[in-house]
This record gives sequence, C-alpha cells and structure tokens, in this order.
Amino acid sequence: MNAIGYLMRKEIKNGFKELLHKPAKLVLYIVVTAFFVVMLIEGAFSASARQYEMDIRYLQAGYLALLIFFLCSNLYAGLQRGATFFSMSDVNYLFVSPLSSKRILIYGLIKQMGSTIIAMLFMVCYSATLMQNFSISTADMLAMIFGVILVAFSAQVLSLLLYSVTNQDDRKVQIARGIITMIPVCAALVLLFAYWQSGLSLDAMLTAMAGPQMEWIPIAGWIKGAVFALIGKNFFYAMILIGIFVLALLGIVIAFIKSDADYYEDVLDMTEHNYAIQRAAKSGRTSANAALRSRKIRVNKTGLNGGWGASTFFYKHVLEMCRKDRLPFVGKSTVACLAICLIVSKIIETNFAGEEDMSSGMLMMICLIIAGYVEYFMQVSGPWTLELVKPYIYLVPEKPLKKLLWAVLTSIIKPFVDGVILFTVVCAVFRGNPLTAVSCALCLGTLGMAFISVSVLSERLFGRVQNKGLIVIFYLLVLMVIVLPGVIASAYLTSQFLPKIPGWVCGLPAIFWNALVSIGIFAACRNILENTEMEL
Amino acid sequence: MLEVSHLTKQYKKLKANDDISFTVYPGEIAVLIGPNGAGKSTAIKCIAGLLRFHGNITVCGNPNKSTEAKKCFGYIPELPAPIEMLTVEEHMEFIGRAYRVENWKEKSDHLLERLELSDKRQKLGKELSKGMQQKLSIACALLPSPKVILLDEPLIGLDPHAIKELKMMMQELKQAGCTILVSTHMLDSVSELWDRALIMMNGKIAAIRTRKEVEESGENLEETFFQITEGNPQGPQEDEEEKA
Repeated sequence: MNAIGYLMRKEIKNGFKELLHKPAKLVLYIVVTAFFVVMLIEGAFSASARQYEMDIRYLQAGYLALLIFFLCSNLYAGLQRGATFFSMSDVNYLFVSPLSSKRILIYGLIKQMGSTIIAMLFMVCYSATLMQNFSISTADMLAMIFGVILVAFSAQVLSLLLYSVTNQDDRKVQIARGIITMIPVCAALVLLFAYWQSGLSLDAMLTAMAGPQMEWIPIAGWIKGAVFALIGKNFFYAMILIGIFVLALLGIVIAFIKSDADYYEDVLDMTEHNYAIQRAAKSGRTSANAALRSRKIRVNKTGLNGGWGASTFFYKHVLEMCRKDRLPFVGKSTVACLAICLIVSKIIETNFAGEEDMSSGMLMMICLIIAGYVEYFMQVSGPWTLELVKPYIYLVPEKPLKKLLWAVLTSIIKPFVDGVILFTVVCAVFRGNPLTAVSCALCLGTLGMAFISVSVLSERLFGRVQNKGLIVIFYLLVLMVIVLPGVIASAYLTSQFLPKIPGWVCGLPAIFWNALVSIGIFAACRNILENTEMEL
Repeated sequence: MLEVSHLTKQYKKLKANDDISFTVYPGEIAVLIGPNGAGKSTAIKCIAGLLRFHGNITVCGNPNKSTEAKKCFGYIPELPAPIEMLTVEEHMEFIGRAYRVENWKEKSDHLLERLELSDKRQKLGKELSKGMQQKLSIACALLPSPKVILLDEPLIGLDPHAIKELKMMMQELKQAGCTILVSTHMLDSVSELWDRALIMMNGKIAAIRTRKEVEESGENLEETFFQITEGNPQGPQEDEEEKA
C-alpha cells in the first residue's frame, strides 16, 4: 500500500498547498464552508422556535423520490457507459504498474467516497428550510445528508458491477435495464395500490410513500427507512436496515472483485469519457455541453441567416438553441419549469385548501420563486460563458461592450419568454389576474437579467473557476445580496399596502431594481472582453 | 507589419515572456522557434490579444487590442476550437458576418475547396476529426483576408496534403505582402519557408537571424538553433555521442 498511500498523502497535501496559492479560491471555500455551517446552526435554532410544523410524510416522500432518482439515474448511466472511480493519470500510471489491481480498486473507492461527500454537500443548502419546516434536529439533517451520500456511492459501485457483468452484451444490458426499471415501477405499484384502496388523495399517496412497503426497495428504500428510523429514535430498526445495506454493499464489491479481477478494460472507456468532459470543462465548455458530443444532432435547416458584426453572436446562439431544442428560447427547460411549478402549486393549493384560502396571486408568487430557482440553475452555464473560452469573441473586430451585449442577449430573452409562457398557463389554471401574471413574468425576466449580470461580474472578478459547484454557490450568495433591496421593497409593499393596492404593483420595485442593478453591472463590466484573459 | 516592443507576460513568479521585442515586416515569414516552455505560444496569444501583458504590440500600426488591429490579423490557435453545434459552412458564415466580409460566400467556397473541406460542409464542429478541426481553423482565420497572420503550431495534426497546401498558402500570402508569424518547435517543417527566425529561450528572445545571415554563416536553421540554445550546433544527441 506504500505507493498508493504516498499518492493519496501527496494528492491531499498538494491540494491544500495549491489552495493556499489561490487566495480568491481559498476565500470562496471559506465563505462556502461558513455558509454551510451557518445554515446548519441557523436551522437548528429556528427549528425549535417554529410554531407550525409540516407533515413529516412530505419529507419522507421527497427524500425517497430523491434517493430513487439518484440510484436509477446513476445505474442507467453506468450501464450505458460503465462507471469509474479513476482519473486518466490513474490509468496511465497505476494500471500499468505492478501494484495489485485490488489495492488500486480500494484506492479508487476511497477517492470516490471523498468526491461523493463533496458533491452531496449541496443538500446543506436546504437544511435550514427542512429543519425549520419539519422540526428536525441538526443530527437528523446530517443523517439525511449521509444517507444521500451512501446511496450515490453505492450506485457508483453497483454501476461498476453491472457494467462488468453485462459486458456490453445487448441481451444482458436489456435484462439489467429491466431490473433497474423495476425500482421506480415497484414504487409506482405501491402508489397504485394506495390509489386502489383510498382513491386519489394526497393523504393516501403520502402515507404510501412514507409507509414501510417502500422500505423494501433495495438501497434507496433501506437508506430512507434507516434515516427516518433514526429520526424517529427507532435505533433497532435503523440498525437492521443499515446492516442489510452494508451486507449488500460488501456483496457488490466482492462480486465485482470475484467476477472479473481485470476491471481495467471496464473502467477505461468511462475514464476516457470523463477525461474528455473534464478537459471540456477546463476549456470552458460545461459538462452538459461536452455531453452533447456524444448526442446525435440532426442538421436540418442550416445557416445563421442574420447578423453582421457583433450581432452575429446573437444569431449564432439562436441557431445553437434550435439545434439543441428545435425551437429558440422554448425548450425542455421551459416545459420542466412549467411542470414543476404546476405540480408544486397544485400540491400547495390542495394542502392548504381546508385551512386558509390560498389566493391565485399567492400561488403565482410561489411559482415565481420556484421558476426563479430553476431559471438560476439554467443560467449558470449560459451560452455567453461558453463564448469566453473560444477565441472568436476576443478576435472579432467590434467594440467590447457591443460584443458583450449581443453575446448575452439570448440569455436575457429566455427568462422573459419562459415567464410569459409559465404565467400565462398558471394564470389560466388558477384563474388569476392577468396583470399579476404580467408582473410575475417581468419579475422572472429581470431576475434572469440579474443572473447574467452576476455571471458577468464573476468572470470580471475571478475569471473562470473550475469547480462548478463553487460557482453555483457563489452566484447564489452574490445574487441574494444583489436582488435583496428589490425583494425587501416589494415585500414591504405587500405586507403594508396589499389590500389597498393591486397585487401586481407589489412586484414593480423588484422589477425596476433588478433591471437597474443588472444594467449597472453590465455598464461597470463593459470592458470585460478587453481585460479578461482567455482560459488556456 | 507587426511590432512587438518590450512584451512581458508574468504568471505569479514565472515570467513566460520577459521583455521581448521584434518586428515582422510585410511580405515576410517569421518563425518563432524554441524548446518546449520557451514562451512561444504565450507570445502569440499576447499578440492575438487573448492575454494581458506589459509592453506594446502594434498590428498594422494599431494597438493589438484595438478594433482596427483586429480587422487586420488572423489567428490560428494551437488547439482548434470549433463550435460544436455549427456546421463547417456555418463556421464560415459566422466568421464572414462577424468580420463583415462582404463576399464571404465565394471566399469560403474557395478556402474549403483548397483545404479539402468541401464535402464536409454539413458536418458539425463536434463531428470533425482533430485534423479537420485544424483545417477549419485555418479557413476561418484566412476568410477575412488578414494582412497579418499568426499561426501557433499550425502543422500539428494535419495530413500531408494539408501540410503541403498550408505551406503553399503561406508562400502565396507572403507574395501578396502579408506579414506572417509562425510559432513552432518543429524546425524541419518550416525550413524552406522562413525569412526571419526569432529564437526563444526561457521567455526571452535569445537571437534573431535572417535567412541571409544564416546562409552566409554556412549553417542551416537547425544548426543555428542548437548553437544558440545549447552552445552546440550538433544538438544534444550528437553531443552525448561525442562524449561517449
């Protein structure tokens, strides 16, 4: 283990050293860590202070759905392309070395565990809200986060086994896919049974999702059961489920080692694929864009059909949108956003129907918050940031501000289009005031503008940060600060004057503030293309 | 004309380019040669306006980051960066429109023909092989008819036909009065092309030689290079053989 131990020690040590040489990155890590800690502490304090407690079955249902999603999506992906815990340097140096392949596998597993833990820390962002709404303790929250980490990790290990066992044999792959599909199908059958017994009621569905039958589902169900048994102080039941999980995980690892000690070939393809994605990310393309490389794109209509000088960037982005989603500005993200908003607002409307009257204006406001959240994730890797890693935007002989504005225009238009579609539908479904819908659509659009301006600001201040997770959190923090004055002004109007003034007026301060602050940031960063270095 | 004066590019403590100055005249092919890590690519990227730097760089008499200068030069990067979702033809249209090239269609047809990309017009950028991407990169750079052309390791990844064609194009551009700067560490590949050699070492210009000077000294480019970079015209391999 000497060589591998040395490698791990050095990797950790050099990682820290590198961080010390990059103060901005270090500050970012500290801020993010502090943010996580504050979220947990704040959640712990506010949880005890909260009077109203939401039904914990919502949490159980959502948590199980999340675990099933993680498990199945990882397994499907793993079945298609395999899974890997290794980097290209591991392949080039370790695989060809005389070290035992099993030791190398253990090294890979430890590394993977580390990165899975970091990846799943995003859940901490939701901890305060969850702890407040469901009155759960910090320890309970940590148990939930650890549960997600365990499922994500075991999904990786299981993917490796599946890929190795199926050996890309079509028949075996079909069988394995069928088995994976059985997981959500089982969950759906339990829900169907509940429907058959009690009819279509939210209460029956929640009881079914939180019920013990769901805990029979391998891995996702066991972990969900164990976590909520711990939360409910049922330690014996929790230990049984954890025991089953550990045995299963050990079984998977042993089966993998026994089945085919020569796993190098199995992981090579995925390692190379991951390497290509990492290189793409380093050269600025997002992983989503890199993934496009493996997606078949049908070229029907060709040509930019417009643009002259700087405006060519806009026409290019429109063409790229059409290639990805057929229609410009309206794509899968619009449909997904609409679906999420409708489902959540319907649940809320149903849930609160008996207790207090949920007005259409309030439901539209909830949709606006959800859409803003979804939109934010869509915008983080917008087309304009991809432009910065190719030389064209620097080389084209046009004024920098002109190039910047044309390059961000599609990203600015998209949230407005999403807003118009979303709030037209929501307004029709909940029979709301059209003016409130217009106000919400404008709010979403200007919020999108604020996202883009923060993204421009981040490029101006830090250049490109490789860690996408960190970028997402940084954006979120800065964005909160930037949009806060508008939100406070709108909230003040709502709380003080709402019955006297129409609801749509309450959105105006936020709309104007978002637009104003975005324009201000664009103006301040107008020379970004002059001063930014292309990432090499 | 390309004028580089006191160009310094520093990354933390490392000076990738340390006070380098040179001029490349119209109708001249200058080769920027040097060992790995000498700072050739960094210099080219500074000239192309992709990196921040200290010093002065003018292209056709204009500061290199000005719009006027950008109209004048074409840049062929070391690593081709095609746009994944655009076809070969759309790349040409994009450059033609962005650079406001009036007759971009005819020029594009001609370039694609010469670089054997005509049958790849409908291929997406992501579907091209590395060599094809490099050819596309060359076609894009030459479409606006630049007066100054910057080529960073342009021959890597090209097939023999494309290498021959590119060399021929460089000669034609030179005849037409273009200023050409080629960065490379493959001395053989530019031996018949160059007019001026800018030899770089450790971020500095170690020597500047014209073809006439080298020929008069009775050496060739390779010998001059080793003489300057290693103090031995034979290069490292022969030196070790002599020791043995």
